[in-house]
Amino acid sequence: MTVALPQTLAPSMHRAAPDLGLSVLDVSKAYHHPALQRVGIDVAPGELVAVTGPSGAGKTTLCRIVAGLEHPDQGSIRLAGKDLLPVPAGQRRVAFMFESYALYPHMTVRDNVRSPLLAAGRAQADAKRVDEVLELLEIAQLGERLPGALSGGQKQRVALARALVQTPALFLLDEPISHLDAKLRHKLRGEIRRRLAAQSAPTIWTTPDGMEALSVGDRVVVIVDGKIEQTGTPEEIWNAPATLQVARLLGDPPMNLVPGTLQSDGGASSFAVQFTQLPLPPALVRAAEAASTRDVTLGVRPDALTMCEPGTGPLTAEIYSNEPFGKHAIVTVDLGGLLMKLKTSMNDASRFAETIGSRVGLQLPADGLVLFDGTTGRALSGKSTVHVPV
Amino acid sequence: MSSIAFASVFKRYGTVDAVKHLDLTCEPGEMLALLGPSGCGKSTTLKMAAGIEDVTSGEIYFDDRPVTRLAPGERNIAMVFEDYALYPQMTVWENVAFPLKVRGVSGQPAAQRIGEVLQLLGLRQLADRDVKGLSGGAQQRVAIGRALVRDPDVILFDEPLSHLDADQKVQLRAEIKRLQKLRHVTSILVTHDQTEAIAMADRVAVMNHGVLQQVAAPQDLYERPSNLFVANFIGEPPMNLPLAELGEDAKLVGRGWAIALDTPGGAHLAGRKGSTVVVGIRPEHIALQPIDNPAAAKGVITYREPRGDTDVLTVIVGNDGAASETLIAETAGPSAWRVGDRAAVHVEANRLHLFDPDSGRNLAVAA
Repeated sequence: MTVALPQTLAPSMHRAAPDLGLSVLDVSKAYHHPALQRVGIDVAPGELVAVTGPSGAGKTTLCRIVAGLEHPDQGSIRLAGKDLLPVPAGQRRVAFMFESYALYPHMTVRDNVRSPLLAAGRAQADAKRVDEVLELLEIAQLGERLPGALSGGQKQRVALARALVQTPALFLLDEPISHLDAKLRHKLRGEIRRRLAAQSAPTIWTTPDGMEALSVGDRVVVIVDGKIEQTGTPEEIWNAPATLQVARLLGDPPMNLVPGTLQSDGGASSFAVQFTQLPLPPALVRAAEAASTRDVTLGVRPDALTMCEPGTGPLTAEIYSNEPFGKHAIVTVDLGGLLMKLKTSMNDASRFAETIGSRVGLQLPADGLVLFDGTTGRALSGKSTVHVPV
Repeated sequence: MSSIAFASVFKRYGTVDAVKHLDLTCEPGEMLALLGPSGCGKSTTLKMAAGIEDVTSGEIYFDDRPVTRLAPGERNIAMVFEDYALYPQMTVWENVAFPLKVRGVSGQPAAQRIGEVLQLLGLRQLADRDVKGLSGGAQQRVAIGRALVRDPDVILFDEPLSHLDADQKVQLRAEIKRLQKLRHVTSILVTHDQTEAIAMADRVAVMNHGVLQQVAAPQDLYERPSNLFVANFIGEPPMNLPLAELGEDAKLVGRGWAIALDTPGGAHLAGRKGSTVVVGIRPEHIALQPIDNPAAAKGVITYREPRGDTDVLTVIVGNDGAASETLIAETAGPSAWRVGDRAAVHVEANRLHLFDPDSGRNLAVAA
């Protein structure tokens, strides 16, 4: 099978004409508490922006406002240069996949998927599109079933199919694959991504899974408590998480976050943690000078830590658990009550981590460390790209 | 601590064979995972061990004691369920104390055992809290505490992580593995998620359509899958499985690519030369390099999926002629590869697996 390469996959083409895409500008919304606070997101034509954050972050509220199901307290929404706010929801030409599916219970799977095309008055010509999308999502064999006879994961795919079958001005996919099992999720996200890329509509894809956001997004927006923590390409977000909140959401397993205290002795800075002082690499010393407080958190990626003989590394820990995955192992160590995870080779895991409770030395890398301000939670190092609403 | 053995166990629902001739032993103190897609028979197997499901034929033994006709209460097993099944109106302490209470254990001996278990699970500070307000991960730890406190011969874990958030899954799977190692309780774990099985179990039994496919330590399963089902099921992204002709010169020729095998005289190739085989290539064993060697297979990258510390790349090889093959490669990330880039594609010949296209059997793994 060969795959035609849609030109829109080239990221450099995005942002060329932002006024032709979707522009969410300085949007706020409060219910009993602030749900969105001055949120700004641009999505270029053909671009997919993944919005990620924990549940309650405001992802669904954002989708509902863009779709026209809620009105923002403040801010504007523009699509292809036009103000969307005066346009009723039914006329915005948005393909909205609801997290709650919202399937018609009395219609078969096929009729549910076909329903948006009927409304557009071109059902005959598009029967083939329905078949294609059902095939893509591996639910073709369920076409004549009613939603009541489907599992949660199957219902989710029907709801997704109903969005993908359309040729809208905008796709809003609210947690489109969260209820599928891991294997199907990995398989489908690339295929859905390719299908979306073949269209010129902007897409917003929300997910609570930070790694899914990195995988599907041309760009990623991290949102927590209604506020944007960071906007950037997957590489920018991965290499330089702007805040502790972002760091917690990314990685499998996520970055280890070690609270400690900055010490400076003349020119040299070090980081005190659990009765130990760690000299800081030069890049972090410069970063540390910007700290507003002596209380900082050191972020260490699981794949950046290495194990060595006890006593030969700057830190000594105890083996807590070892999970051998085949191409790598995940070793959990106990550093004076603080559990840290290492992503390591199978060889190192069997050499150092066979016995629970045995002592092991830890080496820190010179790079791949991030220092966070203990008060603000902001990264003190790296090139963070914090989004500031204009 | 006892062993659990399934001897020619068969389970039929009406006309459907849910489990077929299962011969499988979980050794004393071992954690054995039953892994497979939904409908593979893993849950039925667990329920038969628990006694909540009858056995159609065959026998189940705990050590050398047949338990097939014993009621669940007579088997000294504990179960941990996906939905925790705690008593919501009770505190953490009371939930863990409950199995002792119903067995008439109380006072100082009970308090000491409960205290130990809570300590082991990091639940000491939560002892007096109602379980209702706790996170899913904490609730499942209480359920595990309740299972451990009565020193069962066997603990049966039924999808214990499936209702948890991703971060809690990562924490708890390491926790369960550690507890099982420290307490040496014979355990069977049922899961559809290979990550969980591999993370927690000493050995993994892979099932499909009621038939045991392979039982092995996680690393063996990964490195020596016995058939195509296991090869495809274990590993993420899954193994590439292109077809190729095995030539008389022990060269594999696929659609737009060719590899010389490093063991041309291998016994497993006897009688195979000149026939079609399925070639198994793990994505991390495909190396992409800038094109400098004109002899190397060439490919073009058609899709790139960044996954943080790795990039998963879709590569079409052999794009010069009509024949081509789509392969998935995994490389350290974030990488500099972009869609549209051309690359030389290298595969390590000693990492390949060969399968019979009809039986699905791995040619190098003895039957």
